[in-house]
This record gives sequence, structure tokens and C-alpha cells, in this order.
Amino acid sequence: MAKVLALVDRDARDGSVRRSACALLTLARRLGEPVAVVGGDRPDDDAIKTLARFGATEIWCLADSPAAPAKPATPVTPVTPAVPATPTTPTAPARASDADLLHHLADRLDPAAILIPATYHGQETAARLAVRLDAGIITNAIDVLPGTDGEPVAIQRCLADSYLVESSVVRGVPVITVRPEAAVPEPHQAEPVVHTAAVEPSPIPAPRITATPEPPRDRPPLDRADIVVAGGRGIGSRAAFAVLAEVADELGAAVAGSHTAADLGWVPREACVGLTGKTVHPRLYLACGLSGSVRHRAGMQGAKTVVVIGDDPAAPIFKLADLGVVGDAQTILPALLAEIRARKANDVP
Amino acid sequence: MAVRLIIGAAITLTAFALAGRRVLMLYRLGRSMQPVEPGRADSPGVRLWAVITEVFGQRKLLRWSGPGLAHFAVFWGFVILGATIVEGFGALFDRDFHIPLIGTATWLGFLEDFFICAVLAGLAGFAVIRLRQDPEKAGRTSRFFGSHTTAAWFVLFMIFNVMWTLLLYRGAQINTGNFPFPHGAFASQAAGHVLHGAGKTANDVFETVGVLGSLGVVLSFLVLVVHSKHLHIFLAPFNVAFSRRPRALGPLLPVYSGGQKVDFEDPGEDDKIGRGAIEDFTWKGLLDFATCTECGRCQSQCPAWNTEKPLSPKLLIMSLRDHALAKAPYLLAGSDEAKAALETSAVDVFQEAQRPLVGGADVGGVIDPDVLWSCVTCGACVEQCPVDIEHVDHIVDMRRYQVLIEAEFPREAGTMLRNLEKNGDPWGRGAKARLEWTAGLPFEVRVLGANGEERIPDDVEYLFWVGCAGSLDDNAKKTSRNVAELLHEAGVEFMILGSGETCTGDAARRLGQEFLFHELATQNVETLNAAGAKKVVVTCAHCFNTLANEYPQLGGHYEVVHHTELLARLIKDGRLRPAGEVDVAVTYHDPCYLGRHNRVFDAPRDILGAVPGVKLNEMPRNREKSFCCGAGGARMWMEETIGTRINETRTDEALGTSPDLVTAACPYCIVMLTDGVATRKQQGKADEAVRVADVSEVLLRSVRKPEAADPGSGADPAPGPGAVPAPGAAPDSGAATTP
Repeated sequence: MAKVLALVDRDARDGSVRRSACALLTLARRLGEPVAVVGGDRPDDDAIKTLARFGATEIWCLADSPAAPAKPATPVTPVTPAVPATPTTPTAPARASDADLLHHLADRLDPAAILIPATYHGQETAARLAVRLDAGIITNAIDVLPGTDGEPVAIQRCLADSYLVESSVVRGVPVITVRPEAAVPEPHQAEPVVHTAAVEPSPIPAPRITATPEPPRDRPPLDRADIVVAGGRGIGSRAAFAVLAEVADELGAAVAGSHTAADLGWVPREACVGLTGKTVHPRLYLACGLSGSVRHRAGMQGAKTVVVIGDDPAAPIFKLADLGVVGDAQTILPALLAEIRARKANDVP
Repeated sequence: MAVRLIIGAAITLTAFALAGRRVLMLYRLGRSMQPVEPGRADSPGVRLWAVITEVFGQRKLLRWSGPGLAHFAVFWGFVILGATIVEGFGALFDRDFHIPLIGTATWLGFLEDFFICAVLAGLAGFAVIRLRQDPEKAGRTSRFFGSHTTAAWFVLFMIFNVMWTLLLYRGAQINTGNFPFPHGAFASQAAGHVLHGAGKTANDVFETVGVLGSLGVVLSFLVLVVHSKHLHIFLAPFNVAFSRRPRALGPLLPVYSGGQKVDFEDPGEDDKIGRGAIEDFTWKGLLDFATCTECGRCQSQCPAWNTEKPLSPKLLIMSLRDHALAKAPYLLAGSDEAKAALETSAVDVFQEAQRPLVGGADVGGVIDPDVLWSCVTCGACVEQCPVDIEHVDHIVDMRRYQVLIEAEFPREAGTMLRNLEKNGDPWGRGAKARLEWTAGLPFEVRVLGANGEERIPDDVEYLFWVGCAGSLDDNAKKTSRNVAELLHEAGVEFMILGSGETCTGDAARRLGQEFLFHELATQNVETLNAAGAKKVVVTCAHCFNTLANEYPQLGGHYEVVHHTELLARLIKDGRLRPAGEVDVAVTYHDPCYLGRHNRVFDAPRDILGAVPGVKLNEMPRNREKSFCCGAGGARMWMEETIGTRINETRTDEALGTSPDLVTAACPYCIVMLTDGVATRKQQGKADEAVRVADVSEVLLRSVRKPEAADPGSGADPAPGPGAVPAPGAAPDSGAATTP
């Protein structure tokens, strides 16, 4: 049975195996013998165990890579480090990149396919690899299946996700990047053999990750938030919008704006909910000072409960409301904020 | 004489060789492009008439009086002074040459001299225009911004040289006794008078030098013309003759590949979808690019350019032309080997050939994506272009490739496309929501199929195509209700499709998603044909254009009227009586897809004019020159992040007329203007009482009984049962008032 290489994506800080690697091994198993390829530092025991649990029959890593640094006894607390972790010290001698390692293994193992997670780094690696192997590449696949002759068939979404396209590579070893969230990992215990390969770094310069900043975690991301507090033109000013943001913070909610609010610069463009912005599905949508035009509605009609504060009871947003408060958002929001804070203060266990 | 003849022949042969080589290259380049779609040579009579009016009559140029007159003089100067070229060549052989039969006629002498003077006056006019509009000083507001101004000045200088050398040798001819015209040539006589004092010998020299100089200038001008933007002198008649008639507005053309319509059910393997490289354009496309004279009339009207966006129709066409010419040696290289050989032998050409047609500065694209996606397809450029270039078609063709082949388009439009696909409307509300607008009307709106009928019954005159906005957008719903009430009042039987409607596909098509358009349009045509629809009334200018002009491409032929047309007719026929006074100052915004694209300018104005009390104040840019609201070309579904906002620019123009009510006749325009007015109110720059509404609202207010109407108030009829005042008369009495 032919081997199928899967490039393992690991957390830049603690070296743990990412979910995408397990998913790629699951997909690889459909096509042949899953082989995990681990670039950079050598995987620790935990990582090897994880890869074994998801079916890796072989694990390949770089011969000259140092062993993983000893992990602290307690799990790393999710505190933003003052200095971002650097996986490689800038002064370290050039090391074989993931593309170098995969290139080497492709020649050595003659695999049926090479699966790579479609992260920024993965896309980069895949592109370089495909050029070096003179092989076809398929990017951003959401699924990979064996075709009628066992050849790998990749499925991609196109045209704003409205169509699915099936493609297979006709020249060379298929290089396929797979969207990390697309496939579901299925455990399949295996006993992997760990190999090392001595790979010369390619003289072609490759980008290196020098730092991975911790994303800010102040508010939940808008498209996954349970509660969204949104404002529109009726909020009146940027200063008044700050009060709305405070209400959101007290509720642990994401802040959103209508198209107009984004146009006026009260919220960043990414926080615009509507047809041309984000689509949200929160449990609670608190709509303040917005009319609820059909284009705004297009972005929030999936909300479970809608509470509206606005001064025009004829505004269409009230037709969507489970609870509507008629009044000026600029006076009601500070009152709401005070009430929430008062209740929180009394709510001390 | 021999010297004259030898030098004359040498100049002529050199010029013809140089010009001929260039013309041959251009011809071969044209032949290497794709064939045109069928119909480009249909109705020769119409095409001949277009050439007569637009080339010889200078119809479109004369819309701008000053520059138009100057061009008229120079154009006709070139035609008439063709006679002097014949005379000049004749003088190489025979000093006393004149054109046979008419060559000594007084009228010809006068005509020639008149046009020498007219051309000189035209040149002075051009110089003044160019100095006033100097892009160095005026920047983007100059219509010549980005044009090759040095070349333009040089051309003016060359024409000037033609004129003075003509006068020189004609004046000298009078003094040497070789002038063909005894009478009439007043300017030449004046020149002869001036030169007379120089004596016989000097005049002999002047004559020879003048003849050779004049021919030399004319022939070098010929070489210059075929190498420059001045190709329009020869190409404009052809470009006009092969243009889309009556104008390249209204419907978009289907996707053609190799001159054949692409079958979207089963596209061919080698079909070219849209334009992904310069050689994907047709020869007519290349003719468009080569004919552009860089006059910038399009640029001066373009809503994108006027709001500081990177798109200028002129610069777009110029970029395509320059790219086509720079890539020409590559395209004309016979074989793949010859193409590859250019990599070393002609690096510039090879690098030009590698440029993507659409791409950002980072990849050296010919057309920047921001340019491509800034277009609102309003057609102001096409309307203005004196040589009938089809800018909008080219832009949409490039979008088609970007969307269908590259899947590259502004991300934010993706949700709209998905909604069209899944729910049949841009906002994803679904078919069930399409009847909401009828709630609370004091009569029942008939829905096809509600009583089990499959076809529209005979007593129903119109199918009312409500459209997505008319069914789902809150302002447009009011318009639908107004129109329904007015039709009911006038006793016009109508029916709607209800949940049987889907989006016409306009938004998808203007974005370049032809496949989705095809799917939606085919479905609608099937529905309409199955229902036996004959007469259709619509309130949306975009639906109107698509139903009336584009569905015939898919086998859907209906008599489509816009609601303003129908209402204006009902008023004229006395079936609607706007008796109540509506004391408001209004202005009217011409929607592009109603006005420019479909020439409905009068009907909405007729309605406003028929309502007592209404004072209509026109905006400076109206009718053919109307300025887009910013929502066309699928821009409704994209973010406007570059420059100032088109809708606010238009809103300011509307507010400049001090209106109580800004009217329009398209739901897109109403959304955009409502937004603009709200922003200006918030900034304190607009009166709180100013509102935006469809024309039909003004009519409805007047038609309702005066006591029921609420003249002068800005209040809306609040939605919901009971809130809508009963119509002025019962339905049957409405019919009874019909004469």
C-alpha cells in the first residue's frame, strides 16, 4: 500500500500536535498508509502518542533537530507572554525547512499523495514543494477521497462556497493543502516507527517564523459570540458608542455595528453586521439605535433572541424584536450599564 | 519641376511605407483577436445613418457646444481640404494644375478658404480648452488628466502647419499665376497680397517650398496619426458603424466565445469565459481601444472618477490599448518557439506579455482590481463617447473572467451571491417573505395560483413584477403598496407571482456571475412563460432592464413597462386623477437603468407635473447626464471604501435644489439617497424634514381625496392595517370614472 505523507502542524509555543494534523492523518488513511512528517524540533512523547492514536504508521523528523525542550510540569497557563515565544533562535544555523524535508521524503518514499494543512505556512510550503517536485497542486481542499482508480480526489469550495469542485492531480505526486477546520479527526490506534532523515537545507531562502503573537482575548470574536451588542446611526456619536462597548464588556459580548456605523467609523469595518459584513448567530442580539434595514437583517436574522432599543417604534427592527424598548439609546444605554453593574455588585456570592 | 516631383515622390513613398507598415501590423493584430458576436453588421441602413449623424453630423460631439463646434470645424476642414491635397499632388506634375470640372469654381475656392479659416479658429478654440483644462493645474478635475497631452499639442501644431503652408503656397500661386481659383478664395488672396511685395522669384520659391512643405506636413501627419491616439481620424467611422445600435447600454451581451454564444448548460472545454487576457477581446474591442482619442468626456462624467476612485473609463481604455500594442509582437509571433524567443530578443515585449490582465501593482496587472470593481455600470461614459466605445461591456467581460474563472471579487459580495443561490433574493429572506408587503392593503392583491389557476386569467391586464426590493426592502415595499393602490384605483387588473418570483439575476450579472444569472433568469422565464405573461409592470429599474432587454436573450418576450410609464399613461387617459394639492418642492433623480439605459426620462416628470402644487426643481445633472446614486453594477452589494461616497455626492446635488422631497423611481436609488440624506441630517447639513420617496408616493397623495390626503406633511402612511387611508374611491367607481 502506498504511503501518504501528512505534514504535522504543531503549536509554535508548546510543540503540541494541532487538530489539523490528526485530521490530515484521518484523510491520509483513506488513501494509503498515513506517514506523519514533523519538521522543526523533534516531537516529544506526547506528540508521538497523539500521532499514533490517529493512525500514523511512520513518523519522520529531521536528523539534526534537537530534542524538544523539557516541558514544564504544569500545563502552560494561557497568559500572554511578555515576550512572544520564538521557536527558533535567530542566530541558529539554517535548518532544513518543511519543504526540504517533504522534498527529501517524496523522493525517498514515493508517496501516493502529500497532504499539508492550508495555513499560511502550509500554503507556502506546498507551493515550494510542488515546484520542486514538478507536481500538480490543489489548494484549500475541504475533503480528500480516493477516486475510482484509487487516485486522490480533492474537493474544493468555489464561488463564495456555492459550488463544490472535485479535482485530481495528473502530473507528479499530488500536493494537496487541506483547510485545517474541514475534516473531522477519527482515532485509529497504530504503532508508529520514528525515523529520522538527514536533510540538507535548500540554498533557496525560505521565510522563517520569528514570533507568534498571542491574539487579544478581550472580547469574544464576533462570528462566534453568544451575545452581540450592536449599534447603528441612532447611537449618535463615537463617544456614545463607547458606552455601548462598555455594556458589551459587562455582558461578555461582542460589539457590532450596522453598515452605517461602520461607514461613520464608529466600529471597525470587520465589526459590521449585515449583508456585506459579518453574519452572526448569537443567542442574544441587543440592537441599539438601528433601523433594521433588510441588509442589516441579512446578517443577524439567525439570532435566537433579539432585544431592541430604539426611538422609532415603526422601524422594521421592532418587527424582529422579542423585547422592544422605545426610547433614545443614548439615555437608555447608560441606565442599562448602571443597572447591570449594580446587579453584578449585589450578586457577590 | 523635376526637383519638385522627385522630392514629392520621395516624401510620399517614405510616408506610405512607414504608415503602411504600421497599418498592416494593426490589421494583423485585429485579425488575431477573437471574432465578434453575430449581428455587428446587421441593419446596414441604421449603421449608415449612425455614421452620417455621428461622424459627419458630429452629433455626440456637438452636445458640448464649444468643443463640439471647434471639432466640427476641424473635422469638416479635413474633409473639404482633402481637395487641396489633390491639388497639391497635381501641382507636383503640373504647376497650373486644377481639379477637373469643379477645380476652378468660385464656390470650391471659397469653401476651401473658409475651412482653412475655420480650422485655424477651431485650433485656437482647442488651445484655449487645453490651457483652461490643463491637467498640470486642474489635476483630476481636468478631463485630460492622464491623457497624452504633449502628443495632443503636437497634433494641434501639425494641423496648424498644414494650414499655414497651404496659405503660403496658395498665396504664392496667385502671385505666380498658377492658382486655380480666379474668385472666392479670399484667404489665399489675402496671403497673396502680403507675399506680393517679395517679387516674382521669391514667390516661385514660396510656391515650391509651400507645396512640398504642405505635402510633407500632411504626409508626416499621416505617419504620426497611425502611430498615435489620432488613429480615430480613420477608425472612428468604422467604430461607429460596427457599434451596438442604438447604443451599448441596456442589456448586457451574453457570454460569447469565438463568436458563438457559450452554452451554460454544457460549456465547451475551450470556451473562453469573459476576458482574461488582452487577446480574449474581439477585434471590435481592439477597435474600441485604438479609436479612443483620450478626450476624457467619459472621465468627466464618471461617478467613480468624480468621487476620487481610481477608475476612469478613459484611462481603462488607454491601459488596454497600450497593453495590446506593447504585447502585439508577442501576439503576432507565429509559433510558440517564436514567442519564447522573445524572452531574450525583446525583453520588454516578453515581460509585457506576462502581465496579468487584472491584478494589483504587486503583480503588475494591466487593470487594477480596484479599477475594475469601482464601476457602477451607469453608462455615463458610453453615453458621452463621441466614437461609441463600449466601456461597460468591456468592464463586465473582465469581471466575468475574474468571477467565473479566478473566483476573485470583493469578498463582501459573496453573501449576496449565496443568498441568490439559496433563497432567490439578495438578503436571504426566502420566497415566503415575498407577500409581506401586501399585508394591510384595503383590497386583496391577486396572487397567481392562489385559486389554483396555472395561467394568468384573461381579465388580468398586467403581471406586477414586484422584485426582491419591492417585496423585502422597507422603503421599496411602500412603493409596491403605492403602485398597487394606484393600479387598483385606476381599475387596472393586476396579479403578482408571490413566492413564484425570484431575483431577475441583475445583481449577479453586473458582478460578472453570468452562470448564476443564467440559472435565475432561465427559471424566471420558465415561470413567466408558463403563466402566459404578456404585459408586465415593474417598479425596479434594474428588474425593468433585465426583464425587458435581457430575457429576450433567453426566450422571454414580454411587453414590460416601468410603473412610472404606466402611471403617466393612466393619468393621461384620465383613469387616475391627481386632484389633491401636494404642496412640496421636489427634485427628481434619474435612475441610470431607467433613464440612460432605457430612455425613460419623461414619464416620471409627467407624473410630478400632473400633481397640483408640486414644484419640480431639476438638479444640474439630469436626464442623459444624470449622476449615478452609486448602487448600480452590483456596487449595491459592495463596500465603498475608496474616495468620497457617490451617494453623498448625489445627495448634496439634490439638497442643492432645496427640496422637501427627493424623488426617484428605483429602489436602489432610494436606498442610496435615503442613506445620503440621513448622513447629511446627522451632520446638520440637511433639514430634518427632507425625505426621499418614489414618484408614486406623490401621485398617491394627490389621488386620494383631498380630505383624506395630508398635504404638505412629511409623514408617511404608517404600515399596518387601518393606518392606510382608504383610497379616494371604491374600486368600481375608479373604473366608472374612465371616460
